[in-house]
Amino acid sequence: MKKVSEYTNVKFIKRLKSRNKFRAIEELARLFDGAQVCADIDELVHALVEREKIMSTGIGLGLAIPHAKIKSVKDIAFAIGISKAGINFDSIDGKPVHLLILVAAGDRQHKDYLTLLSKIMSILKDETRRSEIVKAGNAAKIIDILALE
Amino acid sequence: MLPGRLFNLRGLADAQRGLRTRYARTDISKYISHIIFSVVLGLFAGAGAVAFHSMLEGTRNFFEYFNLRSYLGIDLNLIFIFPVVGALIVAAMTRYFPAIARERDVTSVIKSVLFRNGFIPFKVTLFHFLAPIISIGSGAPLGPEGPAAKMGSGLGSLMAQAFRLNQREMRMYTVAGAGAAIAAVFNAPIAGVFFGIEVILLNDLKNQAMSALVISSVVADVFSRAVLGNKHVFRIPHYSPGEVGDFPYFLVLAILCGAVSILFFQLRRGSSFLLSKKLSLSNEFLRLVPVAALFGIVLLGFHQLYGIGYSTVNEVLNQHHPLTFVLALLTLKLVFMALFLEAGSYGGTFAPSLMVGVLLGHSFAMLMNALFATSLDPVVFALVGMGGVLAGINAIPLTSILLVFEVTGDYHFILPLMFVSIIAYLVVIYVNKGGTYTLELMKEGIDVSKRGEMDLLGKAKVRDLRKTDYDVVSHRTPFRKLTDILMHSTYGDVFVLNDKKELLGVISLRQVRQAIVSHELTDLLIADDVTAEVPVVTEDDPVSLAMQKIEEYDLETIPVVKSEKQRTVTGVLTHRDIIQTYNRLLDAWTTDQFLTDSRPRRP
Repeated sequence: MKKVSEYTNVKFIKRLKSRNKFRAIEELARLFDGAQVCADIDELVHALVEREKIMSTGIGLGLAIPHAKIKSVKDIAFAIGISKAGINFDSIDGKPVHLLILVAAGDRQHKDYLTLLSKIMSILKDETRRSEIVKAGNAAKIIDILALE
Repeated sequence: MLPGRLFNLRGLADAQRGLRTRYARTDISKYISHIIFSVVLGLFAGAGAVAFHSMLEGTRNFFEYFNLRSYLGIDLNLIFIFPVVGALIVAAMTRYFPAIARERDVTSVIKSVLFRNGFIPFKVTLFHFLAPIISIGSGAPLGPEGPAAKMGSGLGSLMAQAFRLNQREMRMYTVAGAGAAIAAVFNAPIAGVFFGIEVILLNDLKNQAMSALVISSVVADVFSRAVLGNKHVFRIPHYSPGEVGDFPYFLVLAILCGAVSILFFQLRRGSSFLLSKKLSLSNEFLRLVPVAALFGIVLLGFHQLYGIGYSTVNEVLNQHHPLTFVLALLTLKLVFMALFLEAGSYGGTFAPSLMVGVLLGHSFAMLMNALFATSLDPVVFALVGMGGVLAGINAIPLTSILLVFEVTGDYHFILPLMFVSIIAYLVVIYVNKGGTYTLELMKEGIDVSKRGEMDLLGKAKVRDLRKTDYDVVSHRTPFRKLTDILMHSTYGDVFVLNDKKELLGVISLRQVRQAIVSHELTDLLIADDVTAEVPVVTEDDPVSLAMQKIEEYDLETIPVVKSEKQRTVTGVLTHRDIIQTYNRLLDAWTTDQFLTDSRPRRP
């Protein structure tokens, strides 16, 4: 499997304006527009929101990982959203989310999907890395941090 | 004297006992019983065919166009009502006895021989005796051979049940009954035998049913001729048999017969699409009655289409109709055959094929003569066309040749008949990639194209093998709880259901092992995230289909759902159970195929 940093790029990284979790998810998902990742962004947004309604992907420590596996995603990828103000994500610990990692995968990429989620989790459980990403001055810096697997 | 008489009586009793013992010990008992049973079956089938024929004739005469006018004084315009009345009765029968009604046509006999050792319940025989009499008698343009075969095989099965014969014998007499009934209905004993071989036994020439088939067919035909008279249904005028120079034209006719047969299959597919998909008609009345009403209206202009059509064949053979009219009859006959069959009427395609063949052959010769100034005899082309279309539509070349030969009682056109029948058959086989009955069975997952490699799993239904000890989880289940359920699951996988309790997919231990080991994902995932789409089967699907999907998707289990649309889980089918069933069926089938009476029977 490729390195984690290879599943994203600077175009998929953004400082989020939305304070609402569903709008934040849509704002982040729209980064894939025209990027050959997903053929139907509306379907992706719908899947992410529906998944979020079942159980929050806010896993505490200011981190949320909304994710979906749908047919219209051609190649597995993730986008990164940073919110200085924080978003209420109904997280496990009740704290606002500052770092959003949005993972989109194709419906047949089951194994890669779990591996990527697992790798992202193992990187972000390190508090220093999380903090470096949130405080990073630009997108390229974030890619560099992720590249240090 | 007394001691002497006692001695004599004792001696006689000893002699009888000895004879009985010797009789029972020798094979001769089996042969004699076999012949007696075959004769009895022939008598039964002959009587059944006579009753069938008489009731059909009676019903037909009652509704006959000219009889109604002459004897009952009924307005001719009312003729269209009779097919509708027949359709209403037949649709009601189908409605109230749906399971029995489904056991229609010749393929159901083949299936009973293949999979139920020839067992046919008497109620099925009775139903399929009466329903075609009503439908064909009230005008449906179909034939009696399917119902006759059904009746004959039903009588064979009934006899085997009444005398408590074993499964092998029941299967044998079921086959023999079908052939015997065909022999009696058409007064064609050789065709009856070949019908049994080609259609019911699927060309298995080594089958043990052969001798019973021949004896029963002979007896049934003798009985039928004794009661109904030794007459031919067709009045054939004098004709000149084909010359060598006519054979290129016979070749063209043969290809046309094949093409018309293929057109008939297309019309059936089209009718099925129209009634089931386009109009979405599932109600028996709504399917059949409008077809019958439309047919009734057409009868006002073409009353020759009424019923089996033997009288029309005679009219055409004796050149009572112009070419355009014959062509119109041909087209309408094909269209309504297809519509009636797909709408749910009861009847076969043999007799209609004969009529279509006559119409085609006759019009072909007339057309050639008109266009190219040839001098082809329309009668011989009509007779030969019978065999061509019969062989094409039913994929039975040998039976076709013999049936046409026997129903006409004329040997003079046998060479072009053989030539056209086999070419028409080959055209259909080439285009359709299989015979009519083989393809019909294939639709149900039963592959009999190579009997030696028969799809044994095609005969078992998913319903018979499914288990209900499967595990389910809601798609909302958190991963931690899911892991626990998976660890204790019966088959190492769980079915995931949505809020409507419908199947979303499956989660197997193998798929999520990585997530379980890494721990990091425990708080992030729910069942929905790790659900994989899975193929499903329904309870009515053959097990062969389940096996095909299991292999294609590399599964251990496959969920069983109510229907493709209603995905409520009703069970699970495991790869292991399928393999065990296959081995059991293979064992039973192999033993049964090669078991002789001298070998001990399996318990």
